Amino acid sequence: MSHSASKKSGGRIPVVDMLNGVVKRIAELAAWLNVVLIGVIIISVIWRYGFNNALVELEELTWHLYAVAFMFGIAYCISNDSHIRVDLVHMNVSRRTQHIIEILGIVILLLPFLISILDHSLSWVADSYRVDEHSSSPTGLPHRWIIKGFLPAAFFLMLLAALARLIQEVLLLLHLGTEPEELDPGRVTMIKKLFHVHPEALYRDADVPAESTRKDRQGD
Amino acid sequence: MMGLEPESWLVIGMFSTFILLLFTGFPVAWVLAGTGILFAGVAYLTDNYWETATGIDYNSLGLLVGRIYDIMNNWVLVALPMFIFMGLMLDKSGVAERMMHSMQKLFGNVKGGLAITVTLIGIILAASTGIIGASVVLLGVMSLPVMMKQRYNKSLALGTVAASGCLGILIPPSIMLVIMGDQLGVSVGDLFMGAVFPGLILGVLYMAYILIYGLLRPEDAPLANDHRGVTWADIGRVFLDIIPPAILIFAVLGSIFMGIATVTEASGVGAFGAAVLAAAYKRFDFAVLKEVTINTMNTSAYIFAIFVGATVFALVLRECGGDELIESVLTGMGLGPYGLIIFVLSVVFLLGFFLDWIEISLIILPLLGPVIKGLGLDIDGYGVVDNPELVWFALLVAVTLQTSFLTPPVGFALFYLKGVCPPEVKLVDIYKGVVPFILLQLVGLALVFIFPALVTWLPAVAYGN
Amino acid sequence: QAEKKVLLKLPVWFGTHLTGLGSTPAWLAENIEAASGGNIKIKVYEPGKLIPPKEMLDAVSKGQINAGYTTPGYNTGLVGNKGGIFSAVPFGPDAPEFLAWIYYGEGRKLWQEMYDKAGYNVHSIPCGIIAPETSGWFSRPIDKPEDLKGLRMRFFGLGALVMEKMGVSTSLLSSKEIFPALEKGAIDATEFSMPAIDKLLGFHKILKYNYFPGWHQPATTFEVIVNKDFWNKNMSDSQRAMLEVGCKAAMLDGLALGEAIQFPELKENAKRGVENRYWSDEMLDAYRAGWAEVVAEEGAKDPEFKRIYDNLSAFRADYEVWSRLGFMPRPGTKRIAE
Ligand code: NA
Ligand code: NA
Repeated sequence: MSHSASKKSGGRIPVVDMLNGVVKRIAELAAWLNVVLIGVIIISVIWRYGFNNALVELEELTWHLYAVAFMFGIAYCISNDSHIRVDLVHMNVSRRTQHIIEILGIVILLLPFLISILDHSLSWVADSYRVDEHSSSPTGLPHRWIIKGFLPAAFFLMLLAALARLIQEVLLLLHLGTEPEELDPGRVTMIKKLFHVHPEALYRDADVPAESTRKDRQGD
Repeated sequence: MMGLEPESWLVIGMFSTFILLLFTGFPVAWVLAGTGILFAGVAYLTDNYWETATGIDYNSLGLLVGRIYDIMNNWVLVALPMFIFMGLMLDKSGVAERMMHSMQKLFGNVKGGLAITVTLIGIILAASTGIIGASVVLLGVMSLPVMMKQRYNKSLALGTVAASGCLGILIPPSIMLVIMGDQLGVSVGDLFMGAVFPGLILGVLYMAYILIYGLLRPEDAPLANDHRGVTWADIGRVFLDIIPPAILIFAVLGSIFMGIATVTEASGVGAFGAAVLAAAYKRFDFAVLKEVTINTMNTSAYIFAIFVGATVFALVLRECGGDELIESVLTGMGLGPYGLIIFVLSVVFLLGFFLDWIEISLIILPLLGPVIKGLGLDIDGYGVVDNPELVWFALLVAVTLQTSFLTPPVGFALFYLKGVCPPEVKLVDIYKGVVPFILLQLVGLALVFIFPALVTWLPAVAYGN
Repeated sequence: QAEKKVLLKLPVWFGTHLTGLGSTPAWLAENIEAASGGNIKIKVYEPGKLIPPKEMLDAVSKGQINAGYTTPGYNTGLVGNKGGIFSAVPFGPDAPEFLAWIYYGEGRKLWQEMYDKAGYNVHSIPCGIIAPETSGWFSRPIDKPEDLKGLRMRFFGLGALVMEKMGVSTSLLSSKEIFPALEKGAIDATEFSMPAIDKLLGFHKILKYNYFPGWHQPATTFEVIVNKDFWNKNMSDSQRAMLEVGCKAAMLDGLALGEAIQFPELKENAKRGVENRYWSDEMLDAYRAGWAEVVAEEGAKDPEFKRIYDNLSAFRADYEVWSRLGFMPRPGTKRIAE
């Protein structure tokens, strides 16, 4: 499998860029919740060991934060094309076949899933709102429908991202857009991006010591 | 196959469809979810027009919402993005280069010393990150150019990097063990503790192999041209470079093991500590934080997407009677408990050729947990470890999966490594290099299999009174 | 012409390996299939296999599954704290008195009404009861109310509100979460169920002071909820009657089993280094005072809570003379009257 790197459309298909832009902006905002989560954990640790006091609210808040971050992140991974794939066969077929696979996959596998979850989740949140569900712990957080509301919100975002991909793949299949430049097999590209690795540059001068190599990577 | 209940055909159909669709290269998470939804539709039709009785209809798919929400409010898994953040941040902190630099001096006089340094750093990195990609890439970037320059045997160099980089998934803290604990319903602390000896044994096996290799074929593991004696300053430097990450590791693992902190708390503190370390090494600024934050989201999201897909797949499979079918197939083979475990590990090993540990843990473990529990294995938990047979089994699976990262043709680590190699290194060179290490892995696996105490003893001592 | 068979998919809150607690729905499934000649089949799903327990009520109401095994005390997040009254009442009735109110007072009617008023489309059948639970496991002796302050404790139902009054921070963890939470220090103390059931969860390995009596759960009832449309449209008269009868039998079986398996474990506790302790009068009075506050507050917040609790209290007031005169004092305990 691979974590394919982003095949950016680079301003080629405006509606796709617009949808992806929305998804990415929201998800990147949500990503910061992980930093907030670190803060909340630190505070609850200090609270617990420093003041011998537990706050059920803080403990519940931890999973609220983590949940929102990863749920929006799933949409981000669709836009960024970083979901894990088994690329054994995939990377050896033609571009055209890849587009067809992608289109069929989105229409037959992804969209039915997203739509049925989105559909069911709306009444699920509505019911939670109707009874004003609160935590089953007496001092837990109230208004549980708020966090539950993030589920359909995230699925809506996934739907947008999926539609953007569908449009892009259809247009590319019909040769109505520019193909992204040829990429390495997905996971290698992802790693290179993730760690700013440029093996070619690394080995251009065989005498590069590790320390300075590192600086090159940092400067990327 | 005549004796099968009609529902069994749905189960078989589901699995075959899943495997087939996997190879189209469509994202695994969506293949899982999509196959689930697709077969919910099929089951609805066969309920009405054939003789199955699954009771699945569109309305019952609403159960999936609650199941996905259950992943959202899982307090064990909160540790996962935290450990990922910690690993990525440590990568940015430059800790590994510092250690590499100073330890290289220390081991400069030993044939194969450089390779041993790589393995040692692999172990230390393992204990701090646990993200395979990160360790392999980091080790590769740091050590391959130097090893090439020193004219190491290409295969030895590549094998060392790939194998050492994979230790991270086994040596705690490990996101794989967090997920396994959650799936099997065993204590993550027990798994962390249980993984210490198997992880160290593998590390020691690697080092022993390299040492012997260096003695037998010194020309393949040469010393650096400019090597000199070890000075006290070198030793001091090593300690200075090792102490900060060591403190972080002990703070994280120690607080879990001593029962001071929950896994979540330790993971949060570890993430914070990694950022502090990066700041101490002047590698921390807003750009770094932003990058690590977004990559944390990205990495944890593609893992959780598989959680979501797997919960869809598992529900429909279960409603079609998949659990019962698998249980009856496995127990009906007449293999006996240990034969069954060997069979299961072989299947896991084979699946590891093309599936990621995430999918294997999420799809296979929940199905196997009850079967293994029902075997009535007599594994000693010393009255302390709960479900010692499951803890032992989880570690067997973990070592097996770790081996499969190294296994050609498509082991995870091999591709990561290829990504950072000079262009003249071919995939075949990497394949050749990992073969001895795969054999060592199998030796390690056999040891854990024959001596379950390697797994269960430490948690028992740690948590006993 | 045989009637149409029904299959009830029954997710449960507790693993069926928890004898005396989770075993009751398994007993029901086994016996109702036999007794109905296969006319009703119940397929029990271990916790979380089909649906997370906390989502069960909503899923049954929507007909996503046709049934579930639960208790209103686990659904207070959805139905409010009044739900707890139908599960277990601190300083409330013991099993015979509770059953008298449920079946021959207005208990069951109010129970069903609670779900109806909250808009849940379920038919509730009381289906299991257990005698007093232990009132908790602690790492050190609790001699006076101050000893409780600052503890983090797993606690169930209305009793949790009382513990909050005592300065305890409570959370409602599921059975499989408790031991890991204790082990890692996420909580300092816990209560769960009766000695034989607690033993299966291994609390004795970590906590050495086991307190009695179970003031917080003198008796605890459980229920089968069935989607109301399914109940009305998909089940025949005889199937409905069968399920009602089966649940009454399950009620009896659970109670008898629970009473039969506790004493060996209490005797074993000593060997495990666990001290069985009985709350001092001071502690029980403190809990009782806390409970009185909780009743006043909850009643003021929710008129339905007050209505249900008053109904139970009125029944208990009538019952009191029988309770006082009809029974021998239990060995070793004091008579309250005189
Ligand atoms: Na690790
Ligand atoms: Na309880």
